[in-house]
Amino acid sequence: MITITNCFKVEPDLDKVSEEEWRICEAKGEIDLSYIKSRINLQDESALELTLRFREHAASEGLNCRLSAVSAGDGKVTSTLQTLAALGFTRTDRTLKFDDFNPEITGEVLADYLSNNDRQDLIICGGQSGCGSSRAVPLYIAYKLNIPCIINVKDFVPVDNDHIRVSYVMDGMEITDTVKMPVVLAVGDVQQTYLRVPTLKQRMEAANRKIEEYDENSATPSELKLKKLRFVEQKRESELIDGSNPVKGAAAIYERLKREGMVE
Amino acid sequence: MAITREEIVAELKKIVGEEQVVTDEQVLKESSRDRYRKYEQCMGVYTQPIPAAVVFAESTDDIAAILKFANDNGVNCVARTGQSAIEGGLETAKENSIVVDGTRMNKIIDVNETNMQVTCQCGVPLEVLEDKLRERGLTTGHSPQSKPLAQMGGLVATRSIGQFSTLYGGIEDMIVGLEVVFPGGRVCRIKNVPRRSVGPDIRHIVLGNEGALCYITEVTVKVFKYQPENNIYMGYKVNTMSEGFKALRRVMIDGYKPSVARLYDVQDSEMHFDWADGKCVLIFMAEGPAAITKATAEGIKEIVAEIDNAEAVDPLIIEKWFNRLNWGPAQIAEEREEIIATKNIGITTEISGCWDCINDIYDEVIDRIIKEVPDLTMIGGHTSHSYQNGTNVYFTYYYNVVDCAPEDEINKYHNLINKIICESAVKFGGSISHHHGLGKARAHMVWEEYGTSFYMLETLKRAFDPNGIMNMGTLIPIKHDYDNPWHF
Repeated sequence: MITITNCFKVEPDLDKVSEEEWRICEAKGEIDLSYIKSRINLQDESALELTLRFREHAASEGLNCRLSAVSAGDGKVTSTLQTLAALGFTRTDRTLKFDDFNPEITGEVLADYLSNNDRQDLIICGGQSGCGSSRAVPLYIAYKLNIPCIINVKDFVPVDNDHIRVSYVMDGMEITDTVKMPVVLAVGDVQQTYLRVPTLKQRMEAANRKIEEYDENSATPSELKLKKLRFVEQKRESELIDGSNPVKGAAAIYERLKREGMVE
Repeated sequence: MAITREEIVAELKKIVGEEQVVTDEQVLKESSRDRYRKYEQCMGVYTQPIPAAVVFAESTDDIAAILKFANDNGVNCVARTGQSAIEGGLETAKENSIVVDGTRMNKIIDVNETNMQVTCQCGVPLEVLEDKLRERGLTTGHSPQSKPLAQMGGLVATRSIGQFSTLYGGIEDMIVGLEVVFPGGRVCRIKNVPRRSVGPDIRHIVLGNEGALCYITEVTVKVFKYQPENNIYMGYKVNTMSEGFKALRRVMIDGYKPSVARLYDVQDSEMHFDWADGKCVLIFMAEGPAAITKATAEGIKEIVAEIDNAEAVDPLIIEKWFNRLNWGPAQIAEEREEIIATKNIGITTEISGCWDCINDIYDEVIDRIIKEVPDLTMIGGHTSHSYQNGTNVYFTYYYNVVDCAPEDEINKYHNLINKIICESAVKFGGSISHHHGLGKARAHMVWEEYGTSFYMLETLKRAFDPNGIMNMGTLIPIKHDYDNPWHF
């Protein structure tokens, strides 16, 4: 049996925040994102979908997997945990302590949680989140548990009950290695890895799954107060093509590309 | 002998010039359908007859000449502007059709602040018009979710309605005058007056015709003062849809006119709001002069206070959510990627019913869809347009496409769900389409929808389109198998 735990985070969908709304709420000492719908962190979502594909691959090889998921976060994670239960994650838990801006705290809490449960062969996380973006949580988990960590993972498939084959990116090159478990995998940007959607029937079958809350770690989240925001300018050189309709616009672009020798 | 594709293209080029006639293969394929066949679109599958050409009209004279040619030669014409249609209205259901695109007719002709009217050509995007009007402190009051894409001609042709309809009404309440072109090239203008009693209101021959009777080239709609500074948002969590429907009804019959009055069921709430906590959500917005919005908000709060355990939500959350509701090209592109990756697709179907039956329609649809539809991942709904005598329900449903070729998805899932929704609506005396139009998607049930009044629709079609060249298959199906009415 290969035991796997995915650590994931649900956070506000920052793409939905308009430029005017990126400002500090005086009362809260942070940016007010309470009105923004949350979504699962994109790289965590990729990690979860890759885990499900790993399970399917394992089953085709006659190998069994037991999947668990844990999230560091507030009540907004409940819906995602219920979705994961419907998709066959047998354990779906939540740690009550987390800190977006102190990855050591989050890493310590998750490592503590993992230590208090059965040994996991694979601990899988997204490499980076939208809020915080430290890329350090998987590394802290690995450090606390004294196991290796591979970052920028693109895919992973089972070899046998003790080994997996991992594809990851290092120095711009994609490398594939066979690795002995246990190991922490930090999934990077992987295309076409939206999390699959459980049917209503699957949801009803998992409806009674209890979400355990873990609060036994003594770590104290930092009390950061946001003092200043500065936009990072990311401009690209551009030229406005004048075309009164799509046909004229396309013709203008074509002429431009011809002049630059990009088309004949 | 039927005219060939090549002859159609050659004649169109003579009529409007080569530059206005497009025969690129990919353009023609994409022009053979609309978002009714969303799954086929995502999978790059084309099951409808490919049109002979897309012709971009630049004037009413162009439209008249094109329709005359089409009428003389039996060529099916599909009128198109913003391409936001979702009920198959833009499908080229007949061989060698032509798509007559009015997007280049995009001039705002006149903004008349004395008469509070704006006149524009059919290809003016609503969002462009609205932005221009707001610079002057005016608004059309029309805000369908397709606003980033939709254009004026299509909005009138489909009897569209917007998010602020409870105050401003649907397009039928906003339209003043029109210019249209009929098969054969006849141009008709309906003048701009506040009201008249000179026979039947002939604007209603045009409104909602979905391109099956005429081509809309110019519209005049009312405009209103734009007073967003007075907007008051309200949101509540309530336990049941039944309580929510009752509250909406009270708001309407007591005489309040909030611009927004919406009720989301538990499933649809969960899709939209993190904070719904397993409840239904009621949303209102009062809009207009400050004294009116204040009185409207107070009245609504009193009504909602009578609902057991109704819990108010921070109005700022409602305001921010509402400002993000519309769908533009970016969201559509993102949705496409997600559908391709997950093979999970979401569709909507809307109906209407009077107050005494709407809850029955809602309950039966939810119950039947859960029982009868395979691979369902979500079914829910909300109401967003209420009236003195009833409201609509906008059903939202998602399903996984399992062991199914793209071209079979529409019958295995989408049409099956549509059938259930429409059957339930008709059973309880409601209507099978509130605002998306019949298109070709629900044209199969035109007889059940109209009953004996089908005679009136059919007579209009025969009178105005005797040669059958205007968007055939829309409103009245051209193929109808009584054993399998839902299969094309």
